[in-house]
Amino acid sequence: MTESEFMERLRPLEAYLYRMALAIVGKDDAQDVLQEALLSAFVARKQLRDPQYFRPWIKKIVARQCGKQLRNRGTVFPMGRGEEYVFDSTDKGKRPEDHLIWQVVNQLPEIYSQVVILRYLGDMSQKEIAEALGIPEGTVKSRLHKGIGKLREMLEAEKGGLANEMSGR
Amino acid sequence: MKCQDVRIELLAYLNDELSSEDKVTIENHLSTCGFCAKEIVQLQKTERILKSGLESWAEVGEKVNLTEWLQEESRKLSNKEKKKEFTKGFAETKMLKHKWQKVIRFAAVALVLVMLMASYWPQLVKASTQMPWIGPLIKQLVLRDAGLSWAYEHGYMDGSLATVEQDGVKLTVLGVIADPTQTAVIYLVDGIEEDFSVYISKINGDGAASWTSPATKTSVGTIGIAQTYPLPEGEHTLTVILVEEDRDAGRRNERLSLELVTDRENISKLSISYDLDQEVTFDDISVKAKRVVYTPTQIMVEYTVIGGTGVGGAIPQEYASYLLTESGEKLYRVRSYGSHIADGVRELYEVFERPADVSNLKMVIPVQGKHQEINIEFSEPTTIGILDTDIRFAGWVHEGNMIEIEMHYEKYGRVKSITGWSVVDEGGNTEELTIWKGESFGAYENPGDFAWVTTKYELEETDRPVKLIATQVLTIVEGNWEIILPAIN
Repeated sequence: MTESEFMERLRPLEAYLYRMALAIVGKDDAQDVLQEALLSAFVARKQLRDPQYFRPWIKKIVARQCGKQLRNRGTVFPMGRGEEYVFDSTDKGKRPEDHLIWQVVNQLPEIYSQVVILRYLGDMSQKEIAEALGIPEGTVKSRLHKGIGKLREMLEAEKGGLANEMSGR
Repeated sequence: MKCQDVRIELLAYLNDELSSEDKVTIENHLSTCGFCAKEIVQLQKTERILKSGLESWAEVGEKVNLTEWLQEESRKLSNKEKKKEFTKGFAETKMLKHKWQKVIRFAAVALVLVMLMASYWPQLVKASTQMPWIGPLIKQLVLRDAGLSWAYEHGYMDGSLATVEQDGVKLTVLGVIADPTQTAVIYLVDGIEEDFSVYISKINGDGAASWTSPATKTSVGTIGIAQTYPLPEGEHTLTVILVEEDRDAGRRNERLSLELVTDRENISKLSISYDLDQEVTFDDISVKAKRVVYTPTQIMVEYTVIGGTGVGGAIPQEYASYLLTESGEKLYRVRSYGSHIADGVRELYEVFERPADVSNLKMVIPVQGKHQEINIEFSEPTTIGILDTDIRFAGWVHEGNMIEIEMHYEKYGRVKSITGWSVVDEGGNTEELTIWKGESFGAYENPGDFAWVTTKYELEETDRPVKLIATQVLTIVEGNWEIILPAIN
């Protein structure tokens, strides 16, 4: 794939990939991780034989880089935050069900939400997640299992709520 | 093969990650076990919802500029062999750590002159006159926020330069925008290779909460915005710091610090503020609206919440506050700040985009309650009352490692359901019921009637007599509370 072909295919995916990185590693690290991933993807672009698989290919590279970041992360706390919190929204007008999924996943403890996002946004297999995060495959297996279980419970509860909302109660 | 061993492999099975042997084992089990067969159907459904939900969420991403940056980086890559310009053992990894790249080409001479002038300290100089090229950069930066953008366009940025330099690292403040809904310091940093962040660490000497947005790397340094809460009216001294991030050690080192004075007078004059005195109480939660501010582009509402949980920045968008316009349009908040000022007391500010029509605006705040710990053993069918609502325990069935529990609720779903169960056996060993719902179905008749819900849970250990104990209740206080916003003359 040529340089310009790469850029052309990347352009419509920019926002999506940024969101993915944001979801997995958080705001502070997202741009760093994304840039490293894109650069290495660009350098390795000839490895992609069939350009129609660009999207899954680059998704995987970004997801892998995110996993690496999580693994290398130390504990850094923002200064002056204490018990304060800020919510900054850049999205408007989306389907409520979609946003529900995101919020529900976000409510999981990080060890569960990380593997869930790596799998369902990053399309990674359990083995790949294990490699990326540097943890045993069995641990990934059980975290996914528990994470999905919790999600189902939360979605069931939400569904009841949504049903109530929609029926105007 | 036992059900629980099969269950844990189902995800891998669905994703075709198992060896052909293991696949056959699983399939054999599925053909004979009704429970697991149902389970896999549920799993597939959940995976579908998850995947499509996450995908659509990710699709609606903000505008970012990666391709141009990549093009520039690739150019640098190919030029690397020709130019031996990097001292300090320039390694591939260092190159990869650069922030957003945007190339601005200007005459080098003019640049040097301007930088020389800007580096005089403590001389204050107007940024716009001394660095004419800075305008477009700042404009690009502030575009992401309607309030900042407006302030900048209309000349409400205090553009006095302030700068500090030490050991070759320089921090320059290009301007401050202080409006009633936020405070933003626009900065330029040069001379540092490591990860860094710029924050507002103090306001009038007191510690402040601050955050930053992604910075942009230009040929003269990195430009970005450091933000903090909106300031009260009048003059204030801000302390701005540059912090080096040491990720390996998990530490931050403060490298530079400077102080500047900003004044919130100007935009305030264009803003209108009203005191509010509206209050409502739900169960043990009381919410009190204090003030609303209308700026040219945004509306901010201040209120206090006492008791309850889940109100404020931590709650999901569906339960987030919104402005309700006369035409029925919902405007969700753009920003919110909250702090615990005392035990159980939270002060919140929410900022919304200001709609064109500001007559008959209401702000709607959904109020949420909390989990309650209880410890009630269920044996016979019985009714328990929790917070004025009846929850009727109708019965339960225990077979092997599956437990089915039937409950009757008033208004199932959003109000008061039991969310935690455990069992205790004769040896006194307790086990929390795994929140797997192999099957959960319920129905409710007319509003006000009881709804019945049957839920299946799974136990780790099988075949032993146990007692069933309810351990937790989710109390969600129903309520959307409306604040009527005064119309502006």
